[in-house]
Amino acid sequence: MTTQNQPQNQPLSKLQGFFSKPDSALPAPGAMNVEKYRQLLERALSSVPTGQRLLRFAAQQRITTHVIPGKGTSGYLPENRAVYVVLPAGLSTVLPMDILELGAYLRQAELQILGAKNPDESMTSEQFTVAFDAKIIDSIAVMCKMATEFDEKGQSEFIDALITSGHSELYEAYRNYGQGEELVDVYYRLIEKTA
Amino acid sequence: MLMQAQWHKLDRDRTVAMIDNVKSSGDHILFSLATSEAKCAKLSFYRSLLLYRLTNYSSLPSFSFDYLGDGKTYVHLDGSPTAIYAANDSGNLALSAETVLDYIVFFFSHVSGPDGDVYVIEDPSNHPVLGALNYMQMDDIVARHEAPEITPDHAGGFTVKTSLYYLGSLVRATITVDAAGRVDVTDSQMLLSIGVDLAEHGVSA
Repeated sequence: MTTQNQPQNQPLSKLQGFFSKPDSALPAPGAMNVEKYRQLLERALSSVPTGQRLLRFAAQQRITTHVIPGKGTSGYLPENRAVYVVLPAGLSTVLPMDILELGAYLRQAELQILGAKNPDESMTSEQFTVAFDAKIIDSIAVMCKMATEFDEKGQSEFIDALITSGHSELYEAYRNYGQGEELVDVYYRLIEKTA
Repeated sequence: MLMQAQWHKLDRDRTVAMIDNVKSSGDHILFSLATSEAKCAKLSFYRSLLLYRLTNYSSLPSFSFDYLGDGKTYVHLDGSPTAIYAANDSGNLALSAETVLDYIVFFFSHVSGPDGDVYVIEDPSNHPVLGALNYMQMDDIVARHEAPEITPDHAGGFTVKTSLYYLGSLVRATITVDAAGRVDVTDSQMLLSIGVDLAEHGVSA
């Protein structure tokens, strides 16, 4: 942690004037369109074994990926057999975390098709909680697995992305013990801490 | 004190009507009655527009889109300022010294910055996005935080100095909001770098 006094820090200075530009609603030079974004995400994902396997499964099962301009979370919608990826305005590159999340959503689709369904209103409260936690833990594990595969190719920014987005303890548990009890313990410990 | 959104769940008929409306505006078929919920909240700075939120609970995590609407037409808040500025230009905006901070919070909740999300910090000890920080980081933020200052100008606009959390840093920013609701960050000073990007990632514990 550092304390700084840098009013001309580059990322901060980009905020100045950004929202008031007459063309701020228009894509900046190099900004994404939805199709380019989808292609870049899938291309990056396909460069590691787990991502490649998930994309192949999605193609076989006709799971589609749609990109929608917006703000907020992306997700897999079982009733549509589709992954929806939100594309923030002004984004000019694909981010490691977005690539890992696409893999996690494709994994959710795979589990759904294999019979481990997303929680829904037909479930009892206990069934809902078990299904919810199991899917989230599995999603985190598959993101950790892919980040490790990227790291083995020399792309450490994927592990950095997991850590800077608050998953450091979960990643440490995965790295040391794999997808086992330790990861589950850390998950529930974090849940209790934030409850 | 910032307004907390008071959400009201829409009944079945109004939910169906809203889903039909946003479907026809080209937002794919993301929401169905069986798996989705619609709710709305009053915004202190709009006369007749409400904030609407459609949430599909079948995805993990749940998948939401926000809209500004009057109960008949809805504009998707797509992360750019365009929809908000259009709503302002329709004559619905009612900015005052009491509502301008709410407006800024709403604005940055729905518009992305050039490199990520911007969070307005009015009270760091009670801000959900800072919940992932540890006690030492929180103590540093609380020590450096200053309460917002609001100064009206002669043209119906306001200058607001407030803390922002952006790209893992606590920032003291000067923000102007003109009478039409156009937002401009005119100055920003980094107070503290934490290095934790608290952007809303979909899969999180």
